[in-house]
Amino acid sequence: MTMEAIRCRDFVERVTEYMEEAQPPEGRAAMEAHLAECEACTRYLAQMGQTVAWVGRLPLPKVEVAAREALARRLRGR
Amino acid sequence: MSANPEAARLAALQAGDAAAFEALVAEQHAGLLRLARLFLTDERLAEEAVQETWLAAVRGLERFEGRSSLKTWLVSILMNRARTIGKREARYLTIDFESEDFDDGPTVEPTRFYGREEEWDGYWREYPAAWPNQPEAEALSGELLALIEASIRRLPARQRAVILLRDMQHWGAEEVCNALDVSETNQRVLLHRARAAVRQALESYFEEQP
Repeated sequence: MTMEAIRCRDFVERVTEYMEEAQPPEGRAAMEAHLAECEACTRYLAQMGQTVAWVGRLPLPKVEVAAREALARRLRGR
Repeated sequence: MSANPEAARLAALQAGDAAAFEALVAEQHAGLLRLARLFLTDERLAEEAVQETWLAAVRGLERFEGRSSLKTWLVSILMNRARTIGKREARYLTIDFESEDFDDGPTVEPTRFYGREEEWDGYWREYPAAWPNQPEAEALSGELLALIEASIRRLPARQRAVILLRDMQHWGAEEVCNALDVSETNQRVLLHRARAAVRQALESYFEEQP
């Protein structure tokens, strides 16, 4: 069985597909084969994961409870 | 009556249940505001967009059939409000909703890989530099948070909306497709481009650190 060989240049463009598990099994296997032999892409993938984790830690804007309740009251009054 | 909590909630809202409405506002308001702020640079206009979203929601609740979830419905309304406000006050709009198209160039600078005529065509010339350890439990520095936020702000509108909903608000891919009316593939392409740009901003930041 021949498997499509992936180079780093293509790997980096398919990282999100990989993370989203949105590839057909052959595509995923090719990504994994590349990962097994490429430390640089393994690092790139980890950094994309780290990026996602950090973006997820950005704080929500603070909304004063009083302001929110006033809004809810105003809306209800309509 | 209904086994579906979302349907039960919608029924309560449509029946004018005040507590249900307050709970919805409490749950969604800050997220809507965060989204609005990414589209409108003026704080007052961002708040106006969110207020108008809530007003439109109150008016539209009766006719809302629950084909999408409440939160995706609210975000669709907000996107429309931001668009309308942006037409009126263009200088505060950070994007042009109409003209923006998909950019399909590479997300990693092509010169970082060996070129077509070289022996190692397509492989990294140099490994991406390792990042300093940031303990999971430790709060990210204000500087790092500001950098991430600024890099998101520089993204084209749809990429910005997708990364915000997926990675900041933790929505599923399908919910984002519904709220923004993009295909599954486009959603993923937008997410990829957005994440790659933020990763690159982080890499550049760490490179400059002593």
